[in-house]
Amino acid sequence: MSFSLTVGGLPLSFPLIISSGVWPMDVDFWKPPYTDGVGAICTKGITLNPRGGNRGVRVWETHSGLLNSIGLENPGIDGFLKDYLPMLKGRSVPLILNLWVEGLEDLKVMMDKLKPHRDEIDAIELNLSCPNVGKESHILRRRVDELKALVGSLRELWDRPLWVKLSPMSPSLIDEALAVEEEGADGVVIANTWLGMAIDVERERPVFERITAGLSGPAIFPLTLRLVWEVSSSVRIAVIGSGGVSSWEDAVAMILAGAWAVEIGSVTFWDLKAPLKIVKGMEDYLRRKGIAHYKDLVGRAKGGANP
Amino acid sequence: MIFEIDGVIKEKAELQDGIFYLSVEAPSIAYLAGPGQFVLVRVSPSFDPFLRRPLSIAGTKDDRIKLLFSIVGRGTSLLSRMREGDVLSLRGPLGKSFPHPEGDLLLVGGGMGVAPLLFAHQVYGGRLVLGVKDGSWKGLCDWVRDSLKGEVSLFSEDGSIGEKGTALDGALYYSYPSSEVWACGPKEMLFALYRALKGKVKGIFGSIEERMACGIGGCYGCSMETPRGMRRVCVDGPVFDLKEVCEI
Repeated sequence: MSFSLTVGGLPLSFPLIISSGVWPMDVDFWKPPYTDGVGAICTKGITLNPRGGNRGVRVWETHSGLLNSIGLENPGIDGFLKDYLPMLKGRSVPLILNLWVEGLEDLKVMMDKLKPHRDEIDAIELNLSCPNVGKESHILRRRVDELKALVGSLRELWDRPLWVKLSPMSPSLIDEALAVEEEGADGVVIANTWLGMAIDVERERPVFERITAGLSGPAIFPLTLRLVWEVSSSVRIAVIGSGGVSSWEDAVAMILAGAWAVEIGSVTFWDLKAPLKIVKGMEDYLRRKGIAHYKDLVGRAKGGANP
Repeated sequence: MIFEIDGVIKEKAELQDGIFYLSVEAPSIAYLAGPGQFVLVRVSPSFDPFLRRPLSIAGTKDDRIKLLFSIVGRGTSLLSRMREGDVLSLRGPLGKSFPHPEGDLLLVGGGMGVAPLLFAHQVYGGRLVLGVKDGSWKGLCDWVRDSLKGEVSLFSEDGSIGEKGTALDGALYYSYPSSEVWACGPKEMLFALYRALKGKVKGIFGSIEERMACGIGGCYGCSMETPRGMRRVCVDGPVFDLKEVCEI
C-alpha cells in the first residue's frame, strides 16, 4: 500500500499537508515524531515587510471550530530567510512557502530575495485568500485579470512547484481556478477560512477589531467539500483540499471528491497526532477496500474513469 | 519535548463552589515540567468544544501533575464533570518556566493566579501572598494554607479572610530590596504590581494569561503587544520579566 505521489509537482510521502498558519517554524516540529504522517508543511504566511498582525482578540471558539483574526503576523521575507530558513534545513519534510503579496511590485521584490534560496524551498503556495488583512472585501472584489497577472508573473519567476490558495468567499471560484491553471500553476488549493464574525454579548460589541474573522475547523468541512467537488470537475491541475478536514473519513471524502491531497490545520490544535491518525485510518480503509494506492480514490465519488 | 498524552484523573476535589483540584497521572509531563509551565487540556472527546483549555501546572508529585481551575465557561464546566479514573488528553509541558530565583522569593497570586505559584513554592519555597475578593474564596484559601503549612499570607478585599486588602497590598507589605517577586493574576494586577514595586525589589516576573489555540507557537493567536515587539504568550511566556512587558 502506498501513499507516495507527486501532487502539483511536489513529491509527497503522504497526501496530508499541514496548512499555513498553524505550525511553529521551530525545526523541532519539522521532524519526527511531530511529522509522522505529514507529507509537507506550509510556512506561516510570509509578506515583504514584517507584520505585527491584528490588535484585540485573535481567536474565538465557535461550535466545532474557531474564528481567527491573526492578520499575518510574520517576520517578513528578510526575517524568514535569515532566522528561519537556515534552521529549517534540518527538516525531514518538504517546505511549502506560503507567500502573501500586496501586488506585483511586492512579488517581484520578494522573488528577487528568494532567488538565491530556490533549492531550499520545495514549493510556493501563493496566498490569495487571507480574510484578515487588507481592505475588508478585497477577496470579494478582486478581478480575475488581476489574479492572472499575479500568478503569471510568479510563474515566470519561479520554476519549482507553484500552488495558488484561493478563497471560499470568491464570487467566481471556478473562473479563478481556471485562471490559475491557465497561468501555469501546478496546483490550486481549495480553500481557506470562511468569513464569519462573533459578537460578545456582554460587551454588546463585535469580538474582533476588524469585525470579521476567518472560520476554520470541523464545522466548515461540508462547505469546503462542495467547492473541492466543483473545482476539481473544472480544472486538470491538482486540487489540494483545505478546510475542516479533521478525521480520516474527511480526508478520504475530500479525495473521493477530487482532491489529490488535503491540507489540515485547526485539527492540530485538537490533536497533534492527527496526521498520523488520519494516515492510519486511510491505510485501514484502503486495505479493507483492496485498493493498492490512494490515487485510485481521487475523484472516484463522481463515478466514471479514475484520473 | 512537548508531549500529547492521555492522563488519568487520580484525584478530584471541589475546593469551593466552582473551583476544582485535579491530580492527573501524566508521567512524561510530570517529570519534565517546571514552575510556570502549563498544559492544554482537552475538555471533550468530541470536536465541541474544539479548543483545549490552558491550565497552569500547580505542582507535581511523582508521576502526577496537579491542576486547579474554576468554572468560567462551557469548557471548564465540562472539565468539572469529569471523574476520578477518567482519561484527560493533555498537551505539555508548554511555555517557559520561571527562571532560577536570585533573591528571596515572594510569590504573589490574585485568585486563581495562585496555581503556578504553588508549583514555584514546591520547588523553591518562599512566602506566598494570596489575595481574593471576599469570603466566598474560603475553600481555596484554606486549601492553599493547609498545603503550604504556614508560609502563606491571605488578603481579602472585604477583610473576611486574612488581612483586609489586595494581593498588591500584601506584596508591598512583604517585599524587601532583597526580594524577587513572582506573580500571577489578571494583567491589570501584574501591571499595577510592577508599577508599585519597580526599583524596590531585585526582580519582578509575572505569568500572563491569554486566549490561545495551539500552545506551541504556531498560530500566533496569543500574541501580545509589548514595548519590545510582539510576544507569543505560549512560547515566549507565559512567564515574562515584567520589565520587558511594562517598560517603554
